[in-house]
Amino acid sequence: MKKTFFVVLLINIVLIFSAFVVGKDITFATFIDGPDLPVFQKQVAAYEKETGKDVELLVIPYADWKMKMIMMLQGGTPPDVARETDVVYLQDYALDLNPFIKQYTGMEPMEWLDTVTVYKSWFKTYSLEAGMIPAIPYTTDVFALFYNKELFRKAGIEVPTNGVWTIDQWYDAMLKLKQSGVRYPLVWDRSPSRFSWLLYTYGGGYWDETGTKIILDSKESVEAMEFFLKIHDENLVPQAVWISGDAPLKYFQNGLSAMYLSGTWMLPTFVEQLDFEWGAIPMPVKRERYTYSGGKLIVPLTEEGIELAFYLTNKENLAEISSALFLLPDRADMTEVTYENKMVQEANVVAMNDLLNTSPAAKKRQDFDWYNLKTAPVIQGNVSAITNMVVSVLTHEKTPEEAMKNLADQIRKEAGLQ
Amino acid sequence: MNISKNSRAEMAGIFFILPNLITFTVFVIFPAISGFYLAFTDYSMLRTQSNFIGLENFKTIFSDFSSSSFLRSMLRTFVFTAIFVPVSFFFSLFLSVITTSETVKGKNFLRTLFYWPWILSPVIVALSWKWFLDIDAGFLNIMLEKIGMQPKRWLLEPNLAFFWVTVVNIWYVAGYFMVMFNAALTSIPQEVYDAASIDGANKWQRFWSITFPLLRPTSILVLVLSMIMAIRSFELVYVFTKGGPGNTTMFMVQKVYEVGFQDYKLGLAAAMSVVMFFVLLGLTLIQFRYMRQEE
Repeated sequence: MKKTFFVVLLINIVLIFSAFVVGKDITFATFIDGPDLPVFQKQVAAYEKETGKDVELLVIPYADWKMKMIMMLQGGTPPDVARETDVVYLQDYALDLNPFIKQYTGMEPMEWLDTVTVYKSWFKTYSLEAGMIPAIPYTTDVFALFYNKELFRKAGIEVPTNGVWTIDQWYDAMLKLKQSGVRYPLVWDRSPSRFSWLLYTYGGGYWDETGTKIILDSKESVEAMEFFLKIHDENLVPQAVWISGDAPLKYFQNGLSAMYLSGTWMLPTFVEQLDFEWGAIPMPVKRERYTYSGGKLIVPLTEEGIELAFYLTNKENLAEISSALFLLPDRADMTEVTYENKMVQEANVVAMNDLLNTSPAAKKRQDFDWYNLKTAPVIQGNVSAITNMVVSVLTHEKTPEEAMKNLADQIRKEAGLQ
Repeated sequence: MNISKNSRAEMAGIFFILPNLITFTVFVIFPAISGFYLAFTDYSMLRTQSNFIGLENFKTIFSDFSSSSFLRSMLRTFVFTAIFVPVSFFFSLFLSVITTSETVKGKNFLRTLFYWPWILSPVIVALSWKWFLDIDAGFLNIMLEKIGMQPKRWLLEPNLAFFWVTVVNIWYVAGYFMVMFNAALTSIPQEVYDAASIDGANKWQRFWSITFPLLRPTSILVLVLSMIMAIRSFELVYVFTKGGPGNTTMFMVQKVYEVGFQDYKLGLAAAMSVVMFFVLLGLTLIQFRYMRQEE
């Protein structure tokens, strides 16, 4: 009996350890936005068949993504390839893809860079400043103001089709929606970058267009915050989202809100879950027309992952993933995008129009705030401070001027400007 | 080589505890020492290099008393603990007295009912209460509207949110401590009560003079455990209110989490943990001293 027990124990120990020893050839780490998982599984399987290599698809929830990645990187066990939203923090770990571009794409590096940065101009600037190409632009998503067509019809409001609303016109529409019985005319994602859209359209931001001054406490930025406070105080926006971290989607989904300020990454969720007619309104304008464009990149972190990275970003695979997620593929020769779903196609046209008409000055400020090698880390390292600042204003703990001056001074100190 | 029987027994003992000792050293001792070192650096997870900065992190902590600061979150935690510990103690004792009383019917059902919250995940508890108290679609506000009252901003008013965070936490742990008290209450010999009855003691006198003193060891355990639970509160409150409205329900551990894992300022978060460690150490020493004096 004792002998049998020890034999069984030994077998179990060997099996457990073999799981660690017999690893896959390549690890591809990604978070999942919805319908992308089956696409990744299919593309990875095709790659395995073509190359004979084993690929482990490591799915990490987005909420844990950055922390998990940092831990893997600092622990010396990075995934071979990762789908990323940010390369600033990967600067010390990413490979220079310059020597590999011609081999895998047939293009010279600068020609390739021009092709893939059609929506990510910041990436070209970043690569030139860093003297290396650390990633492959993948897909682009854009902020969007979605609306419930049925509630708008009931309120008798027509959305702009050949122009844009001003912020004042947008506010008037909110009042009209409230009068028509809509609980909350607008719901706004609880995110510093979503809040930043308002700063940029008012002519404010965190860094200025030269990336040398902090302008969070400028007259324009404070004005933006005052508007944000006003629409919360007047119950045009549910306070529970920013103040208590309530999920914004449920308000839009349940018809409690007529508009939802979010982005085109929500399109697969809308198609799957919304049971009413919806669309997108061009982003309203105060002083500068602006929409935030972000998105994903494929980052090879080891030499073993380079081939897979270029494979995932070839035209065929890129078209497949973009189509599944209703995102824009990062290629100048793939800008003509149409979707079968009528609502998605309409929203896409509106979002593209916003993107093409974004003020260059606002775009520069955005890039310095979130993507620049030198200036972005100080903003990224204050993400919760930004949220706390907004919340302190919404709870009337501080005035907009006070809250923004405090944070601006803190950021200046961390950036070595004081 | 002749190894004596005693030495063999000693070696066997060491080998038995060795795996646990190694695990404890690697996963508790070593990170704790690393944490102490990190507290004196400007280590950020967004950069690979860090520098020794001496007491700068502690200066930052002790010079910030804004509502989102660590010091304010520490004060809030102490206020919460000061309410949570005695209320959960007496409430769970009350539940225990009910569920061990001879005159109460359906004791088994009541015991299960009161214990039920404890077996749920804190995330489920937090989400359920969040939905129950939702300003727009929460059951409580719907009922208030039905009886003609105005819905309340249960989780949007600072005092109300703090109240509910305290209530939900007490509701969550009461069953757990009730079970401890049940075990202690049922172990008190009936003869003691019979003797007291013969001497003319009424119900209250029997409780305060016999039951309560004999519950002392369990009471101390409940007090210590509830104090630790209160100070370490995080997951339930984080899911319930995210520390809001504003920062009015943000406690110490959430603040450390926010600084370390949302702002990636691990050096500063480590310094906050060091401060927390010394505060907890002080409280524990005071508690042990008090217990020794009582003995």
